[in-house]
Amino acid sequence: MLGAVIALTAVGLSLIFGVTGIVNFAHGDLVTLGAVIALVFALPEGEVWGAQGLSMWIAVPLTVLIGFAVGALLELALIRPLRRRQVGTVTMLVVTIGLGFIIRYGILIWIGGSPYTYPVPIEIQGSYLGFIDMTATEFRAVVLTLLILVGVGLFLTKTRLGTAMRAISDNEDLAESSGIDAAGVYVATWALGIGLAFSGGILQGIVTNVTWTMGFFLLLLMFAAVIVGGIGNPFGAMLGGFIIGLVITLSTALPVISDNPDLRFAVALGVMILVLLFRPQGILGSKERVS
Amino acid sequence: MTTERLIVVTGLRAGYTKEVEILRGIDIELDDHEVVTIIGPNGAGKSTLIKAIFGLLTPTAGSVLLRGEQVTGKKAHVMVGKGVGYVPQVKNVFETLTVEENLTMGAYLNRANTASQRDRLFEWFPMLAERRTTRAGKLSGGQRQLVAMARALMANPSILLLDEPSAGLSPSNVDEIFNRIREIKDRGVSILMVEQNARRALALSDRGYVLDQGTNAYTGTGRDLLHDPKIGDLYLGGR
Ligand SMILES: Nc1ncnc2c1ncn2[C@@H]1O[C@H](COP(=O)(O)OP(=O)(O)OP(=O)(O)O)[C@@H](O)[C@H]1O
Ligand SMILES: [Mg+2]
Repeated sequence: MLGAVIALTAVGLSLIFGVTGIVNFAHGDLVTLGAVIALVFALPEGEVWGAQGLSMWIAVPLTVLIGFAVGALLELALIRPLRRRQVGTVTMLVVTIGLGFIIRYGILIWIGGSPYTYPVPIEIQGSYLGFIDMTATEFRAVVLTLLILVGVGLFLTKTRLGTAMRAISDNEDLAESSGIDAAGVYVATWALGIGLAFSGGILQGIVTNVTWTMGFFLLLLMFAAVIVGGIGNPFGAMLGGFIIGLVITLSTALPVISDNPDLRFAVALGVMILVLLFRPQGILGSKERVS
Repeated sequence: MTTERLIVVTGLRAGYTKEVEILRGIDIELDDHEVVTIIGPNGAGKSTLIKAIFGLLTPTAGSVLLRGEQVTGKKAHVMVGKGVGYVPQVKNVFETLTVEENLTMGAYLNRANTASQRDRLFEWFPMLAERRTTRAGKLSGGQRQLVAMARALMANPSILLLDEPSAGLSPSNVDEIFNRIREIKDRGVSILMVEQNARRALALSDRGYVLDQGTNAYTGTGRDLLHDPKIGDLYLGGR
């Protein structure tokens, strides 16, 4: 299940980087934001500020729509003005780190530091080899994630806008020279990327719980997935997500790691380094990209 | 019959950084149904000129008129919408996209006619039809150049800017490219091209310009430039 969430969120990270050239360090916290917005919609009124008591069937689609809007808005209101002023890569990086920080602590103030669960029935957690022996909720979430990923894949390969996104990541000048208004595609890319991040946050929240740092802890794993799969290749990010997720899930069966859950991250990064040693461009990366 | 001035470039100045000016006041014209070739030594600013005309680089001074309309500093995707196509000197295909996707992207603004235009180009370039699902990055240099031209033609441009279309190709591929350029001209497209293969390019050109160190050095008809002994010595590598 972890793999599915990483795959879903890493695709957005990879797309945003590939198309717009920005490494979005706020991606993890935007994952949290998605989970939190759905939570607030769904929690009974009065439980946290703004709680609506909506059914999950309404709260979830509404939140995903808000995710698209947040992504588009971030591009238009924050990233675009900065790019207009020709802000450098490093500055942009710091801006996204700052944005993540603001979102993260904003959420802490909003819902507090303790975990919440969605008002949906959650079956008892299965054994540690969770991918074989998963709960029904988890199973449904994985299937849903796979469907979304197939949808994203079809969008990227079969639609004009999706192909334009790949064209811009390949060669932005040539894309402009073909009549593609890259600035417009940037907005669509941010919208899609953050919409997927929100979806990933909700799914993660449904199978585990919602905390103010849930996405921030995923960030490193998303980066590992993007790198393992091949930087700039969204399909690589999907594959990388499942690999990282699977390795982590399997590794928690080892006693050392089940006793020290934070070692999961070390395992994930170990896999990343191992892949890079044998295939520096990542599993699905093309050789030309390594410069 | 009066021939329409398609492109009029006057006093164009541009550079990649504020400090270094590459184009230092260039004047160039392209008339309707003309083929015009720009030659000049390496680093003269030929590619830079094409980019500045097409809007991939913003000029610092001077003007570009397209059919009399002021288009100086307009973005490239806007120029495509105005009927200008461009084939870059390098990186002229989407390497990770298939041949067919490359063509589809070429027709980004010509959405309704994408399929019919693609079929027409596949008929014109049968090699591309055979390789429609191949990634462009896997093709040979000559094949890529054809993909690049076909991509630019997808938008059905009335003006084509070609930057060294024959560079780095084998002799038989060079022949094919020059034949294609002639076919494109015969279909009524006006062409402004940069070529190192100056003799062959000038031979099919109505006029030529010699660019040196960011300024105009010589101008004349293709024939005049070819037969001018001074230009032969300086820019065509002797005779
Ligand atoms: N992207 C760039 N950034 C900075 N300087 C550049 C860039 N591209 C070209 N230049 C410089 O601009 C000058 C002119 O380059 P340009 O490519 O226009 O020459 P050219 O006449 O096309 O040469 P060639 O025959 O080699 O293609 C050169 O000094 C080159 O180093
Ligand atoms: Mg050049």
